[in-house]
Amino acid sequence: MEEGVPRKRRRLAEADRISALPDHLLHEILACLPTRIAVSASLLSRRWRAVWTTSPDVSFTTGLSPSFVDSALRHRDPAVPLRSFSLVAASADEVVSDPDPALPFRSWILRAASPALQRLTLRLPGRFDLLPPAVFHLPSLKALELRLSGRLDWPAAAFLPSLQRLELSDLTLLYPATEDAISNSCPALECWRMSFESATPELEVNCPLLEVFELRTRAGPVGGLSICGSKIRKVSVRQKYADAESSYGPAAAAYLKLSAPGLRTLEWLCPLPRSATVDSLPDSLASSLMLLTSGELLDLYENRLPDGGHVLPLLRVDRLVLPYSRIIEEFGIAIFDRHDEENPRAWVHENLKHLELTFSLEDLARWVSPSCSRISLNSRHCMFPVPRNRARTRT
Amino acid sequence: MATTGASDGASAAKKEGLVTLMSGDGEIFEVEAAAVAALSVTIRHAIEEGFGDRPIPLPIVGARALALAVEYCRKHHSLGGGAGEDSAAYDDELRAFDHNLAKVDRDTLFDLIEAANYLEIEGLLNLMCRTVAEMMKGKSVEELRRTFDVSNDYTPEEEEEVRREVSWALD
Repeated sequence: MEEGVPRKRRRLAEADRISALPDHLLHEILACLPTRIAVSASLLSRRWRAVWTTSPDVSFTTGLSPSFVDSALRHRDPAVPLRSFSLVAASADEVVSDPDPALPFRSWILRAASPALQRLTLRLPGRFDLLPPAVFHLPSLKALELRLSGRLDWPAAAFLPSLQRLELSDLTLLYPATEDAISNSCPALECWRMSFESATPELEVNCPLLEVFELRTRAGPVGGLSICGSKIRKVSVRQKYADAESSYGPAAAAYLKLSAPGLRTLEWLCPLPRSATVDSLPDSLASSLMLLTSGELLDLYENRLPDGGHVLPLLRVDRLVLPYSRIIEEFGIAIFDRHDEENPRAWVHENLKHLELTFSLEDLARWVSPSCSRISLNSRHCMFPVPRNRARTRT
Repeated sequence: MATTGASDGASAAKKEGLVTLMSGDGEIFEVEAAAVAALSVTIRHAIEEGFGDRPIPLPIVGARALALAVEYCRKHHSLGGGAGEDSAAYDDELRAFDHNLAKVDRDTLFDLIEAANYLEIEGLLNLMCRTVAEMMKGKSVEELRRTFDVSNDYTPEEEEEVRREVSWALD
């Protein structure tokens, strides 16, 4: 097959393959680099001199010096609208140390917020107030990532008809104009991820194309959740407690309503909701995952639901992930009791095909004992990632 | 790897679900239509336009790049979107596969960029462009020229001028 390509051409091509690429492919490469590198590439050769100016992607990741960002935005070719815009500050200091930070940030974001913009990434600690309303009205935007600790008000009039990926991180507070404001603004959403520093608001998740919904809270309770969608295949809700002194104790979500006939994975790593309605789940939920809490901070006895109460009808679990070894010890109590009340305890035995445990070997030695022997597996595969300990719930 | 029929490509009795591709250097590949059509827009369109039993010609894609691109499609089709199970283990496997694929020599790397561009395999194009971008990081202009064999055709005066032009971006 070497013979197929004329030798001469090959050698010639080898000389400078990169410069031979058409502009749009060079732009794809520059899109993976901070704009500072893209600009300095113009020193390479004549071929490269103006390449960066027509690149539709700009990304400012380190040393957000206002004069640099200004210059880059001023020198690029204004005839080429931005396709992606990314502003990432390493620390809050970087943003706050600027004498009048609000002005340049706002004006940069406004400048980027053209109707052609497809991807917007803003990681600016401590500067949520900078978000101009235009961000919520971008017709072509496909991916929006905001990591801006503070309060975010999601306006009722927001409309992002092309948005497929929404990622909101480190929010302190989220105020959607209504419970379903985000769902209503993003009819094309496929992947929705949020992480909160504190409590989450009540949310109605109702996007027809949504496939993945993930919610994390670091130190606060999960608000009521209503999740409905025929394409949803993964729902993941994790609550963790920053420290024992945290003003928030472990707290159950007020309610969970789940209607997702295509669901394959359910992760509920926090106390059980106080009430739950689960319907339209497939009979053979391919991989649902159990609910549990940090064994360290949560007294399962205290947190148990009222007798016979509103227990999540716990499905036919065929994949069970247990993040803390101590939970294993409480496993029998937490789950079997509940199932004695609501479901036959056989559910584990009959449906479990995949048991995933995260623990250390010492833990294993401790709890391989009668309580463990009650778990029998119709095992298709059984994974024992050792010993990541707590790492699993951090991400 | 692709099933490469030496000479019987076009005339062979069509096996169910297979499509025949012909690389720019004339090699014939018989591959699962579903896998390549799912990942490559170009091949999907060619199939839709009804190339039927004739091999689909891919004039600018060399055999080696085509074999790798097909392998990429197969892997991502079987583990990724839709068909695969939604589990971290599968993600890890795909990541490992991509990681290995990106270890090709520099020449093949650019062959793959051009192939992925022509075949419109978005994920493969991104992967390879990211790989080139990684090679560019942390290098001085001189090092970049050496890495990619870029010859400096600026006159010293021009180079000085460009340097002034972008001085705001240089440390």
